[in-house]
This record gives sequence, C-alpha cells and structure tokens, in this order.
Amino acid sequence: MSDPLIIDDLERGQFKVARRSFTSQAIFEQERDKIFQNCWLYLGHESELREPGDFVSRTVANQNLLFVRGRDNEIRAFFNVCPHRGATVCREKKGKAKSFQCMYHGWVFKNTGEIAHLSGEPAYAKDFKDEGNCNLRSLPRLDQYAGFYFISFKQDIEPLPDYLAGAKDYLDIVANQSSAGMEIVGGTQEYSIRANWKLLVENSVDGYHAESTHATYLDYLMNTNGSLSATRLAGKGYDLGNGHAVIEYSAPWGRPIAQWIPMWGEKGKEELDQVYAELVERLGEDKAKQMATLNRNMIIFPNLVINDIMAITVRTFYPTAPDEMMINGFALGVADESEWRREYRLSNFLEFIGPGGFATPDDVEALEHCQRGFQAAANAPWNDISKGMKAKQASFDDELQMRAFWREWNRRLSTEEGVGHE
Amino acid sequence: MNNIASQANLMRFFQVQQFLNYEASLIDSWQLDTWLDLFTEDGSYFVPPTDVAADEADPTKHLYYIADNRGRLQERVIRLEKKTCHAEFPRSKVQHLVSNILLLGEDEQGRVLVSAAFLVYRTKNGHSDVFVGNYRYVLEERDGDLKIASKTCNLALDGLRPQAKISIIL
Repeated sequence: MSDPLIIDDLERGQFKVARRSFTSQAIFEQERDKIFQNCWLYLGHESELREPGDFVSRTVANQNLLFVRGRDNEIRAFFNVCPHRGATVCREKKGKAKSFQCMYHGWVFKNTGEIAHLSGEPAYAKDFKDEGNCNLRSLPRLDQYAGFYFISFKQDIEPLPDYLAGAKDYLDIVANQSSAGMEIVGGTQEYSIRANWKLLVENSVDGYHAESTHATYLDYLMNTNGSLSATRLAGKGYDLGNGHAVIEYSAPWGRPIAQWIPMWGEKGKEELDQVYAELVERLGEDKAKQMATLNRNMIIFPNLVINDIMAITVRTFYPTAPDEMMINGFALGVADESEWRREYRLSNFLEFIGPGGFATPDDVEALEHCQRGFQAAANAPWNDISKGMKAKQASFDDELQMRAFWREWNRRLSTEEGVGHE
Repeated sequence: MNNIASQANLMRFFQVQQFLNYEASLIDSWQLDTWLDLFTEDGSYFVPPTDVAADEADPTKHLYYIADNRGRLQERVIRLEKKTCHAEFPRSKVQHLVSNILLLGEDEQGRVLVSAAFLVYRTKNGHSDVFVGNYRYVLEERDGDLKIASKTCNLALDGLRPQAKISIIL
C-alpha cells in the first residue's frame, strides 16, 4: 500500500502507527468487518452461569447477546433478537429464567432457544415452526477455554485453542489459582471513554507509563504503612502469537494470591503461606512461584484484557465510533477464598483499577488527550511504538506487546476481501 | 418520622439541609481538607456498582466504584490536591445540586439517617458530565455539629456512560 498504516522497520529500530488509525471512519468500518466479525470475542465466564436457567445479557461488538445455561445444563449463546420482528427478547441484565418472552408480540422461547409458544399459531402455516426459523438464533460459534467463553460471528473461524496460541498458558495461570476454580465477583464496572478502543489496548499492557501517569498511586502505596514489599518492578514482555501479548513482572504491591505485604498482618501471612504451600503441592515450585509472585497484563486480540496484578481484572471493550468505546470491567476472584482475602482483593482492585480508583481516571485523561491530539494527524501523522525494538528480550516496560497487537491488526486490515480470510 | 412535621423535626431538617448544602459547597469550591473534616474518624464513603440493587450491595462481596474507609478517603483527598492527579489537573468545574432531603429516622446509636437526591455536574475539556442519584447518609451529632459517619452515593445510572470516571467527589 502506498499509504501505510504501520511502519515496521526492524533495521532502524522504528515502529510507527499512523494516527488516522484512531480517527478515520473508514478504518472504523473496516475494523468492524475485518476484525470484530472475524475474531473470537470474549463473552463471559462460566461462573456467571452456575445453574440451569441462569442468564446474562451482554453487548459484544455492539450486538445484543444472551448467554444462558439451558435446562439441559448446556451453555449457549444467542443473538438477543426476536426472530419475528427483531425486538430485544431479554431486557434484564441477568437472572434465572425457564423461558424468555418477547414483549412485542408475545413469542416465548425456552432457555435452550427453541420456540415454546407462537402466539396466534393457528394463523400460521402448519409447518411454520419446523425449520427452526422461530427459534432464537445461535451465535455461529461458541467455545470456552479455562472457563472463559468466547463467541465468533464467523462460522469457519479456526478453533479457539489455535486462535489463542501462546495466550493459553497465561489463561491457565489465571484459571488455576485454586483447585476450587475462579469466579466473577458481583458488580460490573461499566463505563465509556471518549477515545479510540486501540488506545485502551495499548494502555492495558503498557509498563512504561506507570511512573508518570500513576505517580499518585505509587505515592499512595508508599504513604500507606505496610502496603509495599521489598520487591522491585522488573520483568519481561512476550509476543504470544496471533496478536496476543503479555508483560510479566514482579512488583512491590500485595497480591491476594500469595504475595504478602506487612499490612495484611501475621494472620494474613499464615494464610497466604498456606495458599502458597498448596500451590507448590499442586503445581510444583516453579509454577507456584510464577503464579503467586509475578504480575501479568495480557491482551488477547482484539479486545480482551486480563490483568492479574494487585487483583485480577477481566476487561473487554468495543468501539461505537472512532472516538468512543464501551468498556465492561469485572473482578475475578478465587472461588473458595476467605472473606478476608476477598475483601482485600476488592479493596486492591478498586484502589487502582476502575473509574473511581487512584489510577484508571488518569489513564482515561491520558487516552482522551491522545484522541484530541490525533486531530492534528494531517501534519503530525505518526505515533511511536519503538521502545525496546532492538532488545534481544523485551523488558516489561518496552513496547513489544503493543507491536504484536499492531502487526496483527495491520495484517487483518490489509486483507483484500471484505470479510477477511486467513 | 418520614411524614410527620413537628417542630423538633423542622429544626433537625433545617440543620441537615444546611449541613448537606455546606458539604456540597466545600466540594464545589475544592476545599477538600475542610470537607474531609466533616467525617468522623472512622467515617466512610461509598459509590456502589450500578448493576447490583442498592439494598443488596455490600463492599466486602461486590465490586464497588468507590469504597473508602477513613484512611483511603484521606489519601483520596491528598491525591486530588496534587498536580500529578492528572484526571483533575487542571481541575474540573464542579456543581452539586442537593434536593429531596428526607429524614429517615435514627439508628440504635441515635445517629441521624438521611436520604437526599443529587445532581452533580463535572465540566472539563469542553464536556459536561452529569452524575445523578441518591445519597444515603448516617450523620452523628458531636458537640452540636453534625459529622458524616457514612456517605453512600447510589447512582441512578446504567454505568458511567459517558462519564467514564468518578474523579471528583460526588
């Protein structure tokens, strides 16, 4: 292409992204067709649907979906759209239901998706329901890995495990923190940012910005007696393939999975020592140490972030316009942890992460100001993502993980077909 | 107590109304140190999630937007006074409107339970965002003055769209 979106010059150690990637309506539309229609996208976690009939309605890439465990105990995903005339069928955010009734003309669907009651049925042809046209429409694909459910709008997409590539190992680390499993804690952080969605991808795996953007958070930890261990910030960045990437690093803050800080007291230490011993027994010393003491910020292409830091956040987002995104943030916790650990996990979470924390509001400010800056793209056209490009092993505060995302983004947008193909 | 207008209630109502308006004026004028002094030494400040019913929400079980004990509340104020609190540097223009004040009665310790409606405007970078909802206060009388033992801001919103963040005090 004569007008590239990315300059990837390994020899000179330069990686640049055109700022119009964040502002152009045409690129926004290409992303919708070539990325969001063609990838595996996060829908929800298995712990959100514990019993038959449990459901969650959720918007993924602007489309209303229904995530439900049917009476046969099987988990399904439907378009939350009436096959009759298109109204949203389930208008509640979550709950338990044997069936769902569309408010418009009263069609009723079982929690397995089949039509249960077609109002005014005698007026329809005899075999009207037979071909399944009256059932809720299933997503073309639904699959899960380690309890994380993904959907795809594309029928012939590669299997989820292949798509996840190296990210599987890191999902395992998040999912195996207890033999009792993991669970989404109630309460969702639902917000929007007046910025392009890819700015949040970059920000979520950016080890470089902490010292300046989050100066007040680091001050806070230092001011609060006993909130820091002696561990220093250090670590590495990895390209996990297919646009996924992770940074893995040690940090001084407490982690409710077994990185103790003095604030948690002797009793807390005893409990975390026990947790750690259980991890060693179950997974071996190396894995236990990695799981307990290292932090991970991971992007799963294109729009799932799992940050296993002072708490675990599962964050997904999608664009509604080039300069606006919708975000859902969830806290993931160990299913059988004590009340004490759960309380500290939530406390750690909202202290740093989320719209009322001591850090995320400053990220939002930064992202919105980047978006404003991009208005000058005609004369100041390039973002720089070169940090650590010549390094043999990227550091956690280099920008390798962002380059991994951008290369995949660029590859998908460069495909000629309207609906891209591998 | 909810609908009984007695002379004693009238005095209490006036005291509470004056107190809430004073509190709002301190936040709006960024006198946050003075605002912090309105809290008891174990006072707390909460903004629950918008997808859990207000009477079910519990900060030890649900993910809140804000759940500050007195220590973290103080740190919040310290942070908001720094230039490196980027979200609020330069500072937003903030305007509270407090209304629908309702005396709900007293708890077993004689603390005053109050409900009120709020509208909070935050303007920065050319955008005005509105936070709307209901306050629940537990107020304690100390030497004739009211103090905040607990302030909960129940947002009447479906998430923070487009507000994005609660970088000011609600």
